[in-house]
Amino acid sequence: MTMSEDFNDHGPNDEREADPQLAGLLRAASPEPPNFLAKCQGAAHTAMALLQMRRISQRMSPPFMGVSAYLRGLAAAASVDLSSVLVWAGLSPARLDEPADQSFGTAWARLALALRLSAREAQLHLRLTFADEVHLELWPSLGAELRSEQGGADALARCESFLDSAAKTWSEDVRGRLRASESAFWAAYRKAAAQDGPA
Amino acid sequence: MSINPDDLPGRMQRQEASAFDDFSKTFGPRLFRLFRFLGASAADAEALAVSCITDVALKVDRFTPQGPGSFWKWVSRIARRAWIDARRERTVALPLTDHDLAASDLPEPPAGVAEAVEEALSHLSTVDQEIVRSHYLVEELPLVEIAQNLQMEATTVRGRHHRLRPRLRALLADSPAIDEYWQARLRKPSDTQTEDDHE
Repeated sequence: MTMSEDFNDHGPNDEREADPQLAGLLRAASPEPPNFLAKCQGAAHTAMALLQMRRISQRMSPPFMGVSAYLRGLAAAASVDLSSVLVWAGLSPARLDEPADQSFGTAWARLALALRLSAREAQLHLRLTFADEVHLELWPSLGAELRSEQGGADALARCESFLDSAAKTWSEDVRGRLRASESAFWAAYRKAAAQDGPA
Repeated sequence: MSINPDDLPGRMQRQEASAFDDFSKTFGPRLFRLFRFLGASAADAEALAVSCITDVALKVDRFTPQGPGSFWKWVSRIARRAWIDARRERTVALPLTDHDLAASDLPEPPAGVAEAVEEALSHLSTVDQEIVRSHYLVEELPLVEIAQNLQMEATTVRGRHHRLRPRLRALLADSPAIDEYWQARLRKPSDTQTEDDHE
């Protein structure tokens, strides 16, 4: 119920507005909802799982993996339950095995920021998700590029370039979802990054 | 065993599992009271508090202690940002005002407010207690609905509510913390607005 819905026919819409200081004090004394502490505890456990996954990810160089494989690998290495982490980000666990779309990009942005991945690395994982979907064989073609002269100097750039070329051959459906998910990813990443500054 | 809130960030930075539980138990209810005090409905306050638990834990590595109480100040700054964002995005019922954006710090409920309110309520009649609990504390029912529940005329309940407010204020002033809080609000009238300036 919102304040304005508290209608009566004898004066202001809400009697509480007559004395907001008193109303604030009384509201502050209200009991917590049932299961509130359990929800708080669950939220703290989710954060701890994300922190453990973050610690693992910061110890390794960016792997050339799609989002689903990457998250499953991190969760396994950190020995944490991935499902609560996914739900926190706005994804049902089943979504990891379904074609990525706009909402997937939004959720991935939230996860990437929690894991402190750079936008560039996070975007690469997202593109690799689509590469997985079309069963694109990264190896040995990408391996050959990386082994070429100066190939290892910027492995991310090499992979990005490889994916850019490959994506041109993907179906319109896949490319459309890639664009939608990347657009959603960037919007969510930028917004969350702006809100994520030091407190 | 009592928990020292200022010990929590160090323990959380070391990723001690018990620290995350202690953090959720200590700060969850405090955040809930803060959001309720600011005008959030019980459901909104719960969602915001639970969300803040995860957000704070994910950022705890950025916290630098600056004396006793500094952790709560840091947490409440994150909560303020969440409160403003939720109102800006209309995910909670109260719209954002210029006053909210201008305020450098959120007003906070005084310590021991729940105990003081319970003590004050114990001096009221059973019917008046029911009006206060239903209107402010538990369900936030409109006075008309409370009158129906009590099988009384709406005008009667409205009159009782009108008369009990100053009495409740006086009773609450018996609490030194609340009296001090009100005196401070009188000295800084611009800080008193938490909900009376909404659109």
